[in-house]
Amino acid sequence: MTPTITTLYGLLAAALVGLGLYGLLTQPHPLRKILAFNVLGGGLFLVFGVVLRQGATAGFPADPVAQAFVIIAIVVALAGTALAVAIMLRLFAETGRVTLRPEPPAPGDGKDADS
Amino acid sequence: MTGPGFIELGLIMWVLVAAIWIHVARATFAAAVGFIAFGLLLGLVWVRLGTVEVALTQAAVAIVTGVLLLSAAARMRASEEAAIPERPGPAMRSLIAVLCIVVSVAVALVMLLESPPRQPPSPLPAGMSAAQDAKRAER
Repeated sequence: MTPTITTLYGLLAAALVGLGLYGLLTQPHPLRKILAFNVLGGGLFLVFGVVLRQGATAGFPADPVAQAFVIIAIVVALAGTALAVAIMLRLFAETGRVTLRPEPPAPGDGKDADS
Repeated sequence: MTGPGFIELGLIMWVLVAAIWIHVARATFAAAVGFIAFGLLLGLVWVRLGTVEVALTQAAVAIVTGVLLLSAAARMRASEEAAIPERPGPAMRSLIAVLCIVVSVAVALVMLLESPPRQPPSPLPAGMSAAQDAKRAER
């Protein structure tokens, strides 16, 4: 029965949303935060896809416009990820650290290579 | 097809394994490799949901994002240990975990309650509609 499988994918999407949110909040490294953000986004798009699929099984035809919106969302998430990675790499190149805390976590971190 | 088959259950299991691996991997490089696998498996889920266009986009974007993150992880390997002290404490982490489980359960409840109506609006005659219902029931 098709709705059961779709509901299972809905539960998977819910689990991915929770996992991604947890990683986004607890991972210390910004790169891991970006990874968790992508997991969260994947789960969110899957929620959208499952709702779309449930509407299709209820007798409505599958909406290609909604699928196009999912594709746009995926590509925008890629653009956001690329922007975040670029900003993070620039921060790392400028300061040698990847945090915005005022005091360095370890003295002389990233400055030993110069002197 | 009777209920969720091995393909569905295996796919769901592997997507979850990949998502957990992204979080627990010690090196960010390994986590990025896990993210490529996660994105491709998510593409397979989209295929099973019947949206092939989204599946293709997801797979392509997963590879591009994964390569981007791999190169960034390779360049920033020196900063990994420095970020560890910023990890929140165990109490804060458990609080966050509880709240994330609440969010997850809420989304799951929405997914479960969003069940399709039993009688779909069908323009077909009653006999064909009944035959479709029977076919759907045996699926």
